[in-house]
Amino acid sequence: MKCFKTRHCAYYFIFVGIFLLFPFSLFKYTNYVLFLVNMGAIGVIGASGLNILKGYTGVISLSQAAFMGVGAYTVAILSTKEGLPFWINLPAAGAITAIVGVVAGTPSLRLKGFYLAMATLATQFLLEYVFKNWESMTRGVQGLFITPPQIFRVHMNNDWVFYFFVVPLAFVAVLCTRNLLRTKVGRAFTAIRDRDIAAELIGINVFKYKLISFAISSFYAGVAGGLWCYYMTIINPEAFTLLVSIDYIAMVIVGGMGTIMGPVYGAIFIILLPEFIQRVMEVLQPIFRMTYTFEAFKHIVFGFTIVIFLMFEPKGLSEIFSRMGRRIAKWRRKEVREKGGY
Amino acid sequence: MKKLFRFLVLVSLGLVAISAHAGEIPVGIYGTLTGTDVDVNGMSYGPKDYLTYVNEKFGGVMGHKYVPILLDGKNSIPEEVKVFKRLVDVDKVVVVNGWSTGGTKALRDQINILVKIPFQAQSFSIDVLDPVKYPYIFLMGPTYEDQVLIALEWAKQKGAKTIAFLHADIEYGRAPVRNAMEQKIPEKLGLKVLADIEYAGVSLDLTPQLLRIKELNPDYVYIQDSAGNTIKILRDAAKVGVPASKFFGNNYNFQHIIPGTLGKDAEGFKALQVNADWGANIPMMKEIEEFAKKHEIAKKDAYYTKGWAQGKIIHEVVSRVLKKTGGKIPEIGQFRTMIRDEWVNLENFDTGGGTPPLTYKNHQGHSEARIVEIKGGKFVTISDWIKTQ
Repeated sequence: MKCFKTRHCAYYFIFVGIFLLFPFSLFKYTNYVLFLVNMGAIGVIGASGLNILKGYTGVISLSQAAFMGVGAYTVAILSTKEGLPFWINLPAAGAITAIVGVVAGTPSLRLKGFYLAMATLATQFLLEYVFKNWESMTRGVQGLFITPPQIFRVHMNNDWVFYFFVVPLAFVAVLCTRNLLRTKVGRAFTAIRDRDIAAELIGINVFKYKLISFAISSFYAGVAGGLWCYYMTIINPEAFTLLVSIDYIAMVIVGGMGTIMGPVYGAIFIILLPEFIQRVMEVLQPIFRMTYTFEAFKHIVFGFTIVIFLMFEPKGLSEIFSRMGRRIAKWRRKEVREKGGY
Repeated sequence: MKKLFRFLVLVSLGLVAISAHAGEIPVGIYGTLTGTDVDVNGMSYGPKDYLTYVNEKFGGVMGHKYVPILLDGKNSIPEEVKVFKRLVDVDKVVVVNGWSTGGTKALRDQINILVKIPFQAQSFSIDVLDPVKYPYIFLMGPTYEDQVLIALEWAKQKGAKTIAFLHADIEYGRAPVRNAMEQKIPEKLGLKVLADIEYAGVSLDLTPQLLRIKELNPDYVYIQDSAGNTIKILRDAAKVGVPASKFFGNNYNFQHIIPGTLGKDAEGFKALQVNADWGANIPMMKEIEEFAKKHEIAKKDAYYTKGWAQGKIIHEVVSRVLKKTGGKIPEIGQFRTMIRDEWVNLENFDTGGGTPPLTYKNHQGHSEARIVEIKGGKFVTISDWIKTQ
């Protein structure tokens, strides 16, 4: 009973309430908004995995999209060829991707910095090649169609059903990340990121923990990829290219590397910013009468926004919101003092 | 800071509420406005401009104006799914003029089962042409496999005995060639396939592939790719001494940028034409020229004219529906289904010379193409319209 009186409990109840009521509050544009939310939730899971690797262990990876592709293909192959249910396919996607991550990570993790980035880039291209050419498994460039499983007799790729499935999963992913970082393994990650040589000297097996970080990050990516496959109902080699990997790096950096909420803010920002720019352009196009060239401006504005952001707030959105929170708290304390409180 | 935040929220909410009003007919169009295959995005600007032309010249259709909404699909499956949902859910469009094969496949359930909305794809893939399985999807023109058949039949008539295929390692490249081989099209025509050569779609240099072509010396080489890569192929072919006259491209190679870029290295190159070229002496071109007096045209090429013809199809089917309802716009679900039914009933529809007469019983419009060849720096017609069915 005591827990229900704490502030954290109140926040959880508010969060659950918002989560349950949100789709019903959208009187118009429900499917479209839910689509954005669902893609954002998939982004949160993938970005959380990358954040563990880059933000907490200091290991750069340019192959997050390829690992998502492994997860997506695992789900597609297990459901079409073996007819397995989703509650087996999704964890299997994570597990198989983790194994692939360990295999890819073992030769790569002896490198650092730029050389490690190049090694992970090679992994990206290698996996793309496998998706395209292992035709007996992946059907090559034609891709695989899947029939999404049914939940209460509704197909899982229905925007409503998927929302009630993927958003709690995203929450669980963030919660697991937070709890992981409080364990011995999490502290080892942070030590390696901050000073890997010192970490080695105090007895942390740097290679082993980097590999564990790679495996966990790949697991998250595999689950995100599997969810993507169930939602899109089609997978082909062109779906998880280097550009998608760069999107995920942008989510982690913009959101705030090395913070729990960073991937959440980053995923929301990267998903919603193009929509906001699109709407602004639609309003401005008739005014400036530049229909055909305005499309290119969207990309310029998108890139410029991220660059400006990184120049003036390199710690990401997480730091901005933390600072806002501290200022609000400081303002409230000042108000209380002025009113005669303590 | 708080005031700025509140202002931004209000602006965002205001921007969300852009949608058509009563008495307007919203039409959704998306294509690659930025990203890969932008060179053919005239197919998206064409229908938008035609519907704008109808609004200005005729006041719309029976007093109702079109609201053409053009969005960027970026040739990416998630992006195309997103814009489709926006067009259907937010803008409440009655027809969608889509884009890629992959995006159309990903949306197959949405289009045909969940939303039931007429969808005109820019794909020529046989995978999305199935009037029974996909009753709401329509294409315009011969499939890639039809085009291979037309090209090889013409080659056979010219005495060819051997051919080779050249394509990128993507679905657009591999699938049609594979389907043509599985259907044994070259075999049935008595042609021997010497090689099926693949290259990475982003390659900048195709000299190794062209050296292999030179070594094999087929009578003709069929290129299942678009103008961007064809330019590289012909450039490297000239470098190793393989004449452009050996090469045959699909409909996406009917682009003046090829002779414009390569000059004499493109002489003799052949392609397939499935609709009228920009500047053709046809009634449809007169409409475009009238529109161009007041508006900027995004792309002056055969893809824009294709898009214009597709805009005419949309206007025709919408007009037929409104004539049946006495000018009243039906409820949106019913409107979409009625448009689809009228589309299937289109027979020998004249696009003003933009295409052969269109019949949509099999959802394909037409399956004809004619051969064009680069002579003197320009494409000239060297065959009549060839039909596959």
